[in-house]
Parts: sequence; C-alpha cells; structure tokens
Amino acid sequence: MFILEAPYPNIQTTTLLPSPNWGDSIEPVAIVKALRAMDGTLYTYVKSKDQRKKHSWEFNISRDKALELEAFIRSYTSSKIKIVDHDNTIFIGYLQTNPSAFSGSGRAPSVPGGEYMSVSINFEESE
Amino acid sequence: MTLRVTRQMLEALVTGESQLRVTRQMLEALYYDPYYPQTIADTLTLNETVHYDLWKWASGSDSLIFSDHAPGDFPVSISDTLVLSDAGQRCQIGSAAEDLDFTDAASFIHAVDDFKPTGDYLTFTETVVVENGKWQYVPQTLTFTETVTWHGSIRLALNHYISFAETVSNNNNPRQSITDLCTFAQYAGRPYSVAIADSLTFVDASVRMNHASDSLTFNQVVVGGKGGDGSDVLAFTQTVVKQASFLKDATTLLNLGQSTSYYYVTPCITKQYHPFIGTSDYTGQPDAPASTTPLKQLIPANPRFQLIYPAAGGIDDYVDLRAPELDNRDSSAHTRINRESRGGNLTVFADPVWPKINTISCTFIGLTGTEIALIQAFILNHIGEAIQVIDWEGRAWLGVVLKPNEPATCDGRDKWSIGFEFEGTRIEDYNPGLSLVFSDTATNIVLRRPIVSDSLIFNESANFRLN
Repeated sequence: MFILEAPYPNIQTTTLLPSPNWGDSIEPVAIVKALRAMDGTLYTYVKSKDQRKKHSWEFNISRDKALELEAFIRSYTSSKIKIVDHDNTIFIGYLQTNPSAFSGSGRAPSVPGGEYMSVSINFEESE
Repeated sequence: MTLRVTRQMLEALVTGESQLRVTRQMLEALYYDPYYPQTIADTLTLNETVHYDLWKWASGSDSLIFSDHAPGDFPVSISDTLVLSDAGQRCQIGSAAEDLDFTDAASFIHAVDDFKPTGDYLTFTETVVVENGKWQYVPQTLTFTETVTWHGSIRLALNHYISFAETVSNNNNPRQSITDLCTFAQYAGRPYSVAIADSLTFVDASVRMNHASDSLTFNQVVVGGKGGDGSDVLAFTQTVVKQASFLKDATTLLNLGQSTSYYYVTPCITKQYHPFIGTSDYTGQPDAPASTTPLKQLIPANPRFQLIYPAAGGIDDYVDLRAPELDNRDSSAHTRINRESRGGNLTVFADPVWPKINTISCTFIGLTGTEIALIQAFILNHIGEAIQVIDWEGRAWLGVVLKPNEPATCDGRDKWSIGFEFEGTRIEDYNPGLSLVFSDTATNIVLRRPIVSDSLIFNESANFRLN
C-alpha cells in the first residue's frame, strides 16, 4: 500500500493507493561541477542540497481512485506532504508533477469507474 | 559495684638476708554506691513582672542576645545559633517538639487612648557590607523540616503551617481591620545585570495510592456587612525600568496545531473514491478535497462526445461524435512557485486563487467523412471561442479547443481518425442537458377582513459555479 497524507505535519487528508508498478526510481538531486585549473588541479563545486532525493512512481489505479488522487493533488499542490511508500519508508516533501496526467489504460468494468488509469507521481524530498 | 580503697596497713619482717617479707596485710574498703544522674536540665529563665498599678508606662522585656564580633580582615564567620533540641526515645507514643513561642498579653486597658501593643516578631536581619568585594550574599531562611521514619503500616503526616490568624473582638472602635500579609519584596540596586525573582512554588510528590494536590485559595466572606465587598485578586505585574532607551520586541510564539486523520482498511480501499479526511485546526490549512466523488460514476446512457456552441445559453451549433479511444489523457496543471534557495532548501508556494488548468486530450477513430467535416467546421467556425464539451462520462466542460489544426487521417474506406485537445474547466453543479428552471409563485390570500393582499413574488436563484 502507498499512503499520501497532507498537509504535513498537521495531516487532514489521507489517500491510499495501491503499490506502484515496477520501475520506480530514486534520484539524488546533488550537483557536482568539476573545473580543472591550468596547473592541472581539479576543483569541484558541490551543491549537496541537503542530500535530498527525487522519487518517481507510476500507478495503475481505478477511475475513481484517479479522481481522488487528482483532487488530492489539486488541494495540496503547494503543501508539504508525507508519503509512506510500499516499503514503509516515510518521505516528507512536495509533489513535483505538473501537470499531473491521468491516462486511460483500458476498460475494467468490475472496478469503480469502469476503467483503469495510469498516472506518474514525481516527488522531491524537502527534509 | 565500685570498690574504693580507703586504708591499707602492712606488717613486715626483716630477714637476715636483707629481704623484706610481708607477714600481714589489712585492707579497709568502703562500698561506693553507683550514682546515675536522673535529670539534667539547663534553664535560663527570664521573668519579669510589671504591675500596672504602680506605674502607667511600665515595661517588661526579656532579651536573649547573641552578639559575636570577629575583627579579622579576611574570611570571617559570624553566626548566632538558638538550638532547641529534644529527643524522645523508647516510647510507644513518642513526641519530639520544638517550640519557639512568643506570648504577650496586655490587660487592664480601661482608659481611653491607652494603647499597649502586643506583638510577636521573628526577625531575621543580616547585613553584609563589603567595601571592595565582588559578591555579596545575604540569605534569610525560615525552614521547617520534619522527618518521620516508621517501619510499619501506620499513617504518617508531616505538616508545615504558616498561618495568619487574627481576631478582633469587643472593640468599641467601629473601624476594624484585619490584614494578613505574605510579602515577597526584593530590590536590587545595581544599574545593570541584576535579577529579581519571586517564587511561590507548590511541589508535591505522591507515591503509591496517595493524593497530591496544590491549592491556592482566595476566600473572603463578608457577613452582615454594610456595603462591604469581597474580591479575590491574583495579579502578575512585571515592570522593567531602564535608564537608557533600548528597542525591545516582546513576542510570544505559540503555534499549536492539532489534526486527526484516519483510514479504514477495506478490500477496495485502493480502488474506490474515498479520501480519508480528518480534522485540523491549524491556521492556513488548504481546503481538503471533497469527501464525495466529483462525478457520479455510471455508464452513460448516451456515451457520446458533444461539442456545443455557445458555451452557455441556447444551442446555436452542435456536433455529436462517438466516444474517444482509451488513450485519452486528463491533465491537471497548477500554477505555483517552485524555487530552491542557495542553501538548498526547497520552497513551493501557490495561492489558492491561482488558476488550475485542465486539459483533455483524446483521439477519435472510426468517424465518417461527414463527421470529420462537421467537427472541423465546428472548430474553425468557433476558433478561439468558448464552447461547452460534454464528454463520454457525462461531464460538462467549459473551454476552448487548443489545437484547431489537428490533422484528420483517413484510415480506410469512409473511416477517419482525428485528435482533439481541449482546455477548460469542469462544470460541477449541473448535469448536462438541464436547462435553468425559474419557478415563480403567485400567492393571493383573501382574508375575512376587508383587506385584500395580493403578492406576486419572484424569487430566482441560479448558481453557476465554474471550477
């Protein structure tokens, strides 16, 4: 299970999603700029950015759950949110997906909404 | 028994070898009775009696003065000690008490304006004068300390009482005054770096089935008074007096927020629309999403895709297509500021009134050439103008067509496909196809009285909210 809660720390809304698809990624946002002087000395300029990381998850969810997630993103697009991922790891940060696109994946008459939708979430830690 | 030798007599004989030989010895011993002191008492009694009949301004006083003087120049110590020590031992009912009683009595007052004060004073006065010192410390301590240790299940009680109790009675003066004062007053005269603190502390510790309570009680009773008043005042007053002008801001940051959120784990918890919205009293909290689904999901009775012009009002132009393919894409873009400071902090901000843009992208296949001609004509005729779109789920949108130049492709014999991209906002409050209904009511009530009242009331209310 994948849990999104916002706004952090005074949580007022919780949205539950199924576990994401394979292919989720973690990307450090730190930057290293290397410059070499005329005498051959290597200088590195580092932006550690507090060791923050970017995360990317993709979900296949029902149409109803897509509407719920869209409403969640709409409400807390600028709020700090808390994510408990499928490994029970907690992240605090902001949703970076803009725009958030929900694509119709296929018909599924047995699920709420009658369709499956796919959506990607990009998230950047802030603390 | 103690023996005490009091007398000894010896008879000696002298032999020829110049040796002394004792032949007889007698001892007289006196029996000495043991003596155990029964009572040891030191008494310092100061007792004066002054008879009032002899002299009007008589006075009697008892003084117990401890006066020490140490003339040393370097670390000196002066102390006065009045120790009352009692010990009761090996008694079933023991009692250890220390009393320092002040009892004064003035009697025989029978003359007007005669005034004989009675008072008990326990005064601690210390004065330390250091001409060239760095640190002065003048303590005054009034300490009540009792310790009871008892190995047994007997209820114990340790009490300290500081009681103020005055009674004024049988006084001909109608203005009576009773005052209890417990005053903490400190003064630090140094011009800077001083600290003055008054503390009234209640500390209780209770262990195992006991009760700890602190009470600060103000209780005044006015009985039979004449215009009397009773008031309780608990005042905290701080005053800072400065000789110079400093700009100081007094701020109190008490930023407390509470929130409660919850969710129920059900088998369909990750499928259904069900945001678990709790409560929060934190100020500045954004609005939570609706707890009900934004659209009543159902299989539309007429799963068509309709384009209507104008966006609101009567229909002037109209195109009806089949539902698009499943690769449709709903995009929701939010206007916000996303910045990163030089220190690496991520800051995201969005004003709630800033626009949120929804875009629909979809593809139609299997259209006839006539339908392609109709939709292209519709788009070109109303290019840049607001239209209304009713999608295949029955949702009504208000917006514009973003790509009028979307190519139409002929995939087969009278079989065309075309893309469609639309940006708009969804109309949430009204289902498509419903017109605005105005309901007027004319009420005509005739009463028996010769007054006829006719009322024609028009009350319309139309809510047309765009999101």
